[in-house]
Amino acid sequence: MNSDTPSQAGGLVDRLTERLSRSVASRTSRRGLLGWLGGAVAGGALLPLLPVARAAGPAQSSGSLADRGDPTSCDYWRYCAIDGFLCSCCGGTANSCPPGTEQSPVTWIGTCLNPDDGKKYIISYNDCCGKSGCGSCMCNRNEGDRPMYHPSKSNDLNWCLGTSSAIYNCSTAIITGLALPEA
Amino acid sequence: MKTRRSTWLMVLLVCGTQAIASEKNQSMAGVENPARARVNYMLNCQGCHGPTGAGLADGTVPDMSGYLARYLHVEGGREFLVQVPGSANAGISAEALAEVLNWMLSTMDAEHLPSDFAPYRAEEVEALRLHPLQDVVTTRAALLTRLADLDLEKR
Repeated sequence: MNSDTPSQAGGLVDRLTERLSRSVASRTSRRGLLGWLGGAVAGGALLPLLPVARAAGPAQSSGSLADRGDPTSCDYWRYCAIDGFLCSCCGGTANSCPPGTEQSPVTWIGTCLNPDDGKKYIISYNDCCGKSGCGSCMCNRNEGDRPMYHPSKSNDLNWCLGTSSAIYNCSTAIITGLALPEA
Repeated sequence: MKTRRSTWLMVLLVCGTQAIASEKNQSMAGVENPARARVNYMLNCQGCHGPTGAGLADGTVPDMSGYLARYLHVEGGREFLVQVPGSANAGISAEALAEVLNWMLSTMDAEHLPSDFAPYRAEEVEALRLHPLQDVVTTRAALLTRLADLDLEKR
């Protein structure tokens, strides 16, 4: 066996690597790569913070939305027609259920005016079910609420429908879209 | 490199604009304003039927996607889609209901739309709403039987 072969092969790999590195270096800039990577990392990290609904299915973009307010306060604009305990005070958020509960797929839907941009948004009040009533932050605002004989527009019903348990825990208020001005 | 990159950007932009334009131009029979129809669906139907019309997995809210327009192929089906309580009792005008129904048919089940489909019109919807169903469950069961027979005939 020729003892020079491994080092010759090593030299070839070295030369190829060097040539490849030099050609990449001559075509790209480190600053450009860093800038791109930085943008991707920062942008990616911000994505989960965007105030869009993630629970109610596809095509739920709310566009550019100013969503100010305290989701643990009954005065928060999205709660304009809510009747129940705020999930934000119960271990969940305005968009998501507390751990150990199940979000009802059947829900009642209304509109609320966002004071920040003066637009009406479609809000889905999905109840969270499977644990006894949370008991914190009871909030009962009834804009657009209809009597029980109009069930699809009544917030007095237990909306734990289609869930494995009908026991009510708390309510979310999820933005599902932009309403028409006259809605 | 910059030139090549901007060329790609231009290509992407042009393709994107064309895609948006074709989406806007895509007309749905009997739907004057698709955005309005969608909002009316969301406010009056989506609570139970879900954003895509898929309903509930256990079948207590039926899946309309890929199925709804089949009703138009059997006797009484066209009337049923207006007279079913969710439609008939929705707190919207006959014009709006006609538009929502046409939008649902085109959006959720364009595949089964009859080739000679005549969109719902307000007058028809108004008239049908005056005659609510006495027994929804029986009416629906009869329609489903007719639909099943229709499938057998096609085989």
